[in-house]
Amino acid sequence: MDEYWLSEEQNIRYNKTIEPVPVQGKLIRAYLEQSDDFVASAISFGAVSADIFCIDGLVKDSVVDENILSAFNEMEQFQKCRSEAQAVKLMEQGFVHHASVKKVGSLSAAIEAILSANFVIVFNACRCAFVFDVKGFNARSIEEPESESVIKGSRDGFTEPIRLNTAIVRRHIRSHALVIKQVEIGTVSKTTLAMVYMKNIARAQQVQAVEQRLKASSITALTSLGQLEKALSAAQYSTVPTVMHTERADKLCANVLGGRIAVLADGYPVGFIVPANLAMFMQAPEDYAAAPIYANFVRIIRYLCLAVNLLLPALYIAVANFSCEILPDKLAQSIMQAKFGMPFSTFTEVVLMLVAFEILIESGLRLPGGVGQAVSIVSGLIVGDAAVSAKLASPAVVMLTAIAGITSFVLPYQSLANSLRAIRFGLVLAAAAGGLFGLAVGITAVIFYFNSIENFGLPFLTPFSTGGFASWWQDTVIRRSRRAKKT
Amino acid sequence: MQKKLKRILALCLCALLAVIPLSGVKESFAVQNIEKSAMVKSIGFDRENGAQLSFVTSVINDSSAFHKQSLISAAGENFSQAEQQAQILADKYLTFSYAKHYLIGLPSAERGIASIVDYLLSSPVVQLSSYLYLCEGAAKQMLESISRDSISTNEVLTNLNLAGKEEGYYNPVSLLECARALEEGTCLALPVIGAKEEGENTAKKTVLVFKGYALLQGGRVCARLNREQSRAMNLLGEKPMKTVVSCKGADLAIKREHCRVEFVRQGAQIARVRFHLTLRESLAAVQSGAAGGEALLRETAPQAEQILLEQLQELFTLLERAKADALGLQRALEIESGGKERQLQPVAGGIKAEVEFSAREDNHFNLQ
Repeated sequence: MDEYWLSEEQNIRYNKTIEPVPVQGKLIRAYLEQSDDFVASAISFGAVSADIFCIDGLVKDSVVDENILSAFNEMEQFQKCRSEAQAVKLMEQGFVHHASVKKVGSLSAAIEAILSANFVIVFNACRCAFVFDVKGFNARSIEEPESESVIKGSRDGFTEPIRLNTAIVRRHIRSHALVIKQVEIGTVSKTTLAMVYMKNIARAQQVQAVEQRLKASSITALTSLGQLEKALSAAQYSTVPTVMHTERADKLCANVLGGRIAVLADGYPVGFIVPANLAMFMQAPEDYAAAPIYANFVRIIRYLCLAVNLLLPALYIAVANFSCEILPDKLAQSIMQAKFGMPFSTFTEVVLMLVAFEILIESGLRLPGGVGQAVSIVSGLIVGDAAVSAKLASPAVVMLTAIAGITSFVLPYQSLANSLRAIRFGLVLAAAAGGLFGLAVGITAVIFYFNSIENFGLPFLTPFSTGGFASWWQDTVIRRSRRAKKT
Repeated sequence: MQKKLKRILALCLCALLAVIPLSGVKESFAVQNIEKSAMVKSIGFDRENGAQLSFVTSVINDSSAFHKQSLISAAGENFSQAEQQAQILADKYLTFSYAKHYLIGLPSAERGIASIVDYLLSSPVVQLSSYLYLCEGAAKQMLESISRDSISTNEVLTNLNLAGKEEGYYNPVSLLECARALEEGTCLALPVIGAKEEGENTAKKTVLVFKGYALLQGGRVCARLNREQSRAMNLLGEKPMKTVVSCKGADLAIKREHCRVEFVRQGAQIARVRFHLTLRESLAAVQSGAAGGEALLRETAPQAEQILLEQLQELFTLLERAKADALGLQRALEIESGGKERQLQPVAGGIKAEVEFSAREDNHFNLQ
């Protein structure tokens, strides 16, 4: 206990070796008194003295003072206490009025409660402590999600406190079948996760599997959402995402009602949905808000954009390098004329432009808001124009790179779009090596790879690979109107 | 289902990859950059002392010279060798898939075009809808004269086709029609084109003119038709046809609406072939001083029909002499008899051909 500076490894060992010894005030002080925001005090009433502990900034001081501590000072029963046992009995009987009060006996439970924004009163003689839930840290109010724009739908997005998020979910789904189960992750951070599912719809094996996978994860501290996503994914090095994330409560609830399991994390305004497949990543919530005909039209466009995004650069290389005969006369002449005098081969040109596009996207993300947008547009225009003028790239390649890039932004989920942008480099290589034949091999390999990915028993290409063609018309490529759907 | 699909996809992938080491596929992986290709627009075939191929290519030598053409000519023992030789001579890779016009020199055609058609059909990139022409003299010289003026040969030949259709002198013949005719052994009529110089001094340019049809039987030239005879043959054909006949006082625009063939028999034998030709006649132009209108139309229509009749008689005589079934009578007989009668003595051998006009006069232009 005299060792104040511990290495991370020692910390982990330290945490794991806390035995369930009875709670004692001095032991709690020994663990936490190095922190300046640790509040340790004592309270006396009657002939009893108790230790009180909390973390400054995490608890609501007014609730502590007015509801809890004032009860000890004002209530006659407490003033007449002669022993701690008597005080404990009074508290067990609920003489301190508070909606959430719990009795704990172990040191580790008490320390965890203090660190979880609770107010703890320790009765040393009785070796017990009472935990009051008085979380009062400042949190962001419910706002519209920034990364998922809403045209027609609810605008309540998740925030950092997990309890607020679960409250939002409860407001959307007022069903007794809705289960919100808490799981802890991170040996050091002890981050609270909430698994949200419908017990009468979700598969029990999937729920168990999710819980086991979360508990089995070797995360020390949850510092980024990527760790959680990785913990929920089956394949550690999967190119495509198999876990969907959202900031929108309505989307999360819709998926929960569809039998999926959502995971909320304390401190992060994002919910994860598992298991996810390709069809889910191609759906946008606005599809259900718009008229069916328009929604179906947009969905078909989206799938076409997926194909264009993936195949256009590779197709251009295959045709320009191997099979230029299939191009119409005037187009072929136009491309030949544009490529006249270019120092780079078609393959080099395309790869350079694709890489430049990725750099532009990345730089746009890092720059602050308004500046980033302006710089992206200007750099795109200037770089494209300058590249053509300097004969570093032909107009056809600049155009196809722009089209391929824009089509990637049509996809509702950028995580899928990012994956596809990486995969198309592979297809470009295949096309450069073998022309249309090489491209065909590449496409087959991609389909093969997608088909081999599954998470929690759901293949990534569901329902395209598992159902018949009829399944393509049931809320995948086509969204049938609600009246046409069979219940 | 999932495992089954995975297995199928794995098999497909293996099958595709297994093709790679197979012979013949190696050439498919030869990179032919589009900027290093030369688009062949027209090809000329000549055969004197072996085979000679002439390619007119649209070569991009700089970013502005879009329509600049160059002519590459090479010879060999056969056309394949000549092609290889041309490939060596050219500094860019010759791409044949854009060629739409093939010219065959008349002297070469007289020796037979079957080998030329075979050579073209052996290439997978040749378009079956491209056109075949015969030209007076050597095809190489014809292409030289056209490309010398830096006019696009495609444009020149396409304009010629349009003019021919417009004026009713001829219809272009595609490679597919040619191949079919050779295969079936039927008579084929290929247009013969010639070149003439127009303009003076520096403004001189080469203009292509249609000289008439050359009839080929069994792939060899058996008869030549002049422009008027060609027109007459088109009148009895199946493709849309309209023409202008000049008479005293007016030019009549004549459009064939329908042509029906009738075999007139004497007993079991076919005595004559009668063509029932339905025409629509209208005034196209009126000579100065002449009164126009319906009266003029009624007066000149019989004259025009007489002119056409004479040209048709000339045609029949020529066909009879050449023993060429250019009018498709064999096929007409097969259709009429329901396939029972296949052999028809050609128009020669005693079977007379005659024409009956039924004309509709149309003076809605009211030319005066």
